[in-house]
Amino acid sequence: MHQLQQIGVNEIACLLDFGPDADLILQSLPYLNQLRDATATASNENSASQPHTLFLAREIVKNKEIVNRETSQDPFESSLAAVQQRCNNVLTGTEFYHHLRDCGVELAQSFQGIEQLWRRDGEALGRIKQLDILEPDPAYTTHPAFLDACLQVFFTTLPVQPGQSTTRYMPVGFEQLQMHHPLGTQVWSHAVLREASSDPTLYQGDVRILDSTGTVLMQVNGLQLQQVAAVGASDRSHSPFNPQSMTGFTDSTGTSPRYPITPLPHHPSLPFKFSAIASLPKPLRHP
Amino acid sequence: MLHAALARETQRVQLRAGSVVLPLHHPIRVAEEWAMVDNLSGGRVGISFASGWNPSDFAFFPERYANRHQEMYQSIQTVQALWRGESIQIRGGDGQTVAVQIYPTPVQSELPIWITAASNPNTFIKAGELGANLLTHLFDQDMAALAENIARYRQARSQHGHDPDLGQVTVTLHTFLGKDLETVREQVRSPYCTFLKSNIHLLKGLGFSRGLPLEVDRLSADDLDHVAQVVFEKFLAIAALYLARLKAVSA
Repeated sequence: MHQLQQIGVNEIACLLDFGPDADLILQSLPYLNQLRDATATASNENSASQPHTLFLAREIVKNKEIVNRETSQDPFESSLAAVQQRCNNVLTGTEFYHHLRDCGVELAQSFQGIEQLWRRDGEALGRIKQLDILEPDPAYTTHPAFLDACLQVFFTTLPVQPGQSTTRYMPVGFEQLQMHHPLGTQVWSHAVLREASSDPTLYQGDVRILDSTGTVLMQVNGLQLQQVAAVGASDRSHSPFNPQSMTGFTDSTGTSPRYPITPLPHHPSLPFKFSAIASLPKPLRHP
Repeated sequence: MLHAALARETQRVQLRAGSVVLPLHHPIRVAEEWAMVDNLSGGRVGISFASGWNPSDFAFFPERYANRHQEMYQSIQTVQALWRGESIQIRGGDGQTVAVQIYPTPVQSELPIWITAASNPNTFIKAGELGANLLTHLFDQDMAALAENIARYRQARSQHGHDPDLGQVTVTLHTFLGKDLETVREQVRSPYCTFLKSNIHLLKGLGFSRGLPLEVDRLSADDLDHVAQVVFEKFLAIAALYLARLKAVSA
């Protein structure tokens, strides 16, 4: 069982087509249940050490073609539930943006697309809605303000470190952006911070934007946040995350938020300037 | 028919076919019958599709045997389109082309699908491309080969816009649990060996499908017994994993 789980098997289908006596099968079912409980416990323990795995392996024991399930939740719903359980620091969008404002970061209304946020250090999940006030613009496959809201989720993965909340980070690059489908108007954004790099001033992670069925619409891999400056000196250690770290994802071409944008620092190792994201919508075409 | 009966006997369990050999049937029939079971069960059905391998199963459409894999993938698209309420073009009895849909409308907006894979890496990759779940077994691949195939499947999902972590990988195992290994061995030995011997004709078909004709008819009764015992002991090694695990947990 352990081996199967290790190689990525999510479910065991128990074949009973080899003809054991029906009464014997029924008598042995309690053992099957014991096994199921035991592996469910083991798989929960494992998941705690694998925060980068969105899909929580569920051991479901199946009799012939009938799955003995407690509920008929689909896999995406259950993975969402697993992430929400892990990321137990929960804020509504209103709370999130109020909190930013309290800390001096004010976003234009059109950039406040996060409806609900679940976070912990290293991982965050946001439910994002494209606001009605965003006028459809044929120049964009995806409206930059909507994309901005999706990527704001990544900032909230940064670990909360008492005394360091005055440090400011800004998005400076990414390794790869894949757009599979248009974003629609309501999406999930799941951001995971990668292991700390040798450069303590650089954070890197991955963001996946998904629709309500779990289909990945867009992936941004190797998104990079670079420490650029220290501002103020107040202790924000009570904050659930580092709001002072927020700077804009989109550029200042008129659609940008009203929060400060620092010029991009020169960083030779970065494959793209982050501002590429804002100018990407035109060439992006979904397959 | 079995699932229609189970739909009314049960309330919570998922009802899955493992597998519907799609090239043996017309996709309209598969879609419509399962849409009915989806209604009877309140949206609990899921289907694993297989291409089939036993030549004599292809009685309705013997011409499909040679291209059975391609036939399956094409028919999956048709079943999914019909399931979503789309209509497809068919030719009626009067020779005219007409658009048809299935009834009743299924409860689930999308049909949860699996692809049944034996050990062929291409099947795992294709399942990943389609964003389907995967149903597989360890009859002709070991754990290491399965691990490689699962990696291929996840990679193909990722490359085709499907969340690589979401696809369900289901493995079938002959299973029987009891209080200890010796008890289980003796409880299942006889039915398992009988099962193997009575299904020996399937091995013949399997051999044919893989270009390895077997002359199982010429095996003596003793040879058959011997083969059955060897296979039994091989599969029992897998069951033993369960028992060891169970003991470790209860200890």
